[in-house]
Amino acid sequence: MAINRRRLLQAAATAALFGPLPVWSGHATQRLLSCRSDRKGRHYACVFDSRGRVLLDQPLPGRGHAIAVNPNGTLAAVFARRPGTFIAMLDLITLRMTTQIDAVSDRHFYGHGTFTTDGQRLLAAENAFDSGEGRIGIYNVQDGYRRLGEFDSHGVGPHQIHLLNDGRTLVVANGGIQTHPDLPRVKLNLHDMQPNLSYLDSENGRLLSQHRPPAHWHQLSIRHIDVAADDLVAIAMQYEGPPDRRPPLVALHRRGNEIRMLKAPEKIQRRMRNYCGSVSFTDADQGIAVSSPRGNLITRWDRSGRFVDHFEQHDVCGIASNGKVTWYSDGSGGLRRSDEDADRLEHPLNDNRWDNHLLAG
Amino acid sequence: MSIKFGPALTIVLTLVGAATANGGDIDRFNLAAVDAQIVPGYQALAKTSATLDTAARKACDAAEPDTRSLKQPFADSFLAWQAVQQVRFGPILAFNRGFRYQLWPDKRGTVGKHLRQLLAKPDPSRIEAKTFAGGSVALQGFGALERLLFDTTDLRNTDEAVWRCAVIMAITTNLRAMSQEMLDEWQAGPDAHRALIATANRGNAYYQNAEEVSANLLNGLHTQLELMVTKKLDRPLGGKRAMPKRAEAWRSELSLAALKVNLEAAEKLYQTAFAPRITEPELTQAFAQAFADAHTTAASIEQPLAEAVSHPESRAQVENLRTRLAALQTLVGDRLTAALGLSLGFNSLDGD
Repeated sequence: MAINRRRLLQAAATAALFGPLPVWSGHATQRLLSCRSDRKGRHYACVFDSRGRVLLDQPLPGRGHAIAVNPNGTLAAVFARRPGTFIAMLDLITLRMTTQIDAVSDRHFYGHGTFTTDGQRLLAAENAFDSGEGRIGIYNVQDGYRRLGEFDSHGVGPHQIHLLNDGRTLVVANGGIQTHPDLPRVKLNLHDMQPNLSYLDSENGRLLSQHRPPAHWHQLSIRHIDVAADDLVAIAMQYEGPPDRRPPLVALHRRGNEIRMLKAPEKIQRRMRNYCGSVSFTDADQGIAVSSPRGNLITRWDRSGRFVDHFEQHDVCGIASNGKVTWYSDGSGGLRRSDEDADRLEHPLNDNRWDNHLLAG
Repeated sequence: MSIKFGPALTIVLTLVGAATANGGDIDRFNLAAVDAQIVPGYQALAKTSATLDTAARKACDAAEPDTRSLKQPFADSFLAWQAVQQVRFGPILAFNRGFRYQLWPDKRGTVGKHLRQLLAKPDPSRIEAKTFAGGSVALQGFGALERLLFDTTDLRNTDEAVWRCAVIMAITTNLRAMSQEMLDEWQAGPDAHRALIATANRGNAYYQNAEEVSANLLNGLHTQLELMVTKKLDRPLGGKRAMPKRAEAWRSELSLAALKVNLEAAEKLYQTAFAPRITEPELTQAFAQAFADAHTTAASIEQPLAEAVSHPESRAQVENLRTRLAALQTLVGDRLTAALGLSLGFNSLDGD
């Protein structure tokens, strides 16, 4: 592979500016990425920094969902919200959109994906909607994002996916809800959904292990996950069953064990409204933050599974952490910056709604 | 931006600021809307759906089934649905009910596709009540029924007419059952949704407080006006060229009647739940004027909507109606939210 020296230098400079923050640099600038919409219903992918400066505000062909950044921080993939069919590729050095990946004709995207550790491939959660089976699509970063193939997600409705720290094992949140683009956003199988958490070998798609919530909570959709440096997986769920039931909505998992369901104190649990929007490890993986946008609530937990505290933020959904500082974004354009010293809510853009997911990367 | 009709529709409103009314008062206003608009709306839907189903049985039991007599009962039931289309919380959210009443807009033609498949191969097991209710949502609603009643061009022989009638009865029976279930869930027993709303201020299994109910009502009102502007009018108006077959219920020519019912229902909801909470006379006056203008403009359109969008003179009237409804939507989205201390949300309702 030919190395473009200029690009390499730019990448190094970017890494110096935006790379993982050393512990002492509590107020250094952090790059943040999120999809957003304005009140006219136009959609964008926004790259900005923690001082509120917008670096790129890229119009999108439809509503975006999550964003993934490659390991050296030079590329971002913006995934269309389900049942969308685009991935917008952003060059984070030149700060422009370079290309758009379109889903193949009988697939659509689910809104999440990840780069492989070597940065060579992009993996996307997809729906083979005629059979209803989940797929992980594989795209070659070096070859114009040519689709190399796919493998089975081993469940229905794959949503967020993450690589473990071996760089090879892929953990997939198969939400269990079947949808078809002919009936956009209609949930087709609520009565017999079977969500699961699957660990796959990303080299060949082989299923390594699979875990389900207890049978009586089979309508508990596993949607969002985050992975700590020791491969502990934090899980945030959404309940599709009767609204007067109160299932646990947060869970932890470590390979080889069962899924461990966590419950907040009853009064708080109720306020989560059976719906979690995103999850992130925080504070050097010691903490876990979970958003409940319907309850306008963030709950915080520690890595042992203990409920720590909660706070209110209207329509909050996105959570991002760089290990030291945590940011929370909301549907009114609010961005809360929180670390052990301070907590501050700002609105860096006018006429803005932050969409579901926020990334510090 | 992809907006689909149904529980997934765009925006939810929730409390951010303090409103002037106290929780008990807010319970009272919410309940006034439930008793003046929502419960009577579901009562009418249950009644007209039962009448439609009875008429379908009668028509289909005849030696030579003739479904022309169902057109009026269909219109009555469809328009009753239009009066509660703005209710996007409570029992309608369960079991995909919203989509089962009406899958619209149906940009990919799924209703037609599924209906052609069902009609092509008579198979009574597919319309058995439980199977049918758990099957394709596209087959269950007013959209499929309208095609069966108003679009008979591909009817070739009596056998087919008998099967077609069986499908019609499956739909009307299902609509009748669903409407009665929802009415019961709204008003019967201690867990009825009406009772939950009446006691929301004290907190219950469903609601945290009374403002949460207000937010649901306001969300419904705003979303409905948005649906009317962007889907029911903008789509058939088209860009350079009119697209008459994008009008809601163009086959039965009920598009405009549906919009008028929507507007009346919206005004009733506003009058009962929100008008008493407004303290600025200027805003009350602005709403009164905006509703009156919209009614007058809607009444001035004489042709069916699908025709009206295609002719220059009447098209201007449709565009005028669009302007009036958009003005109402802005009043609700900007002024009413501010007056009530409520704010537009975004992430809260849209399952992802």
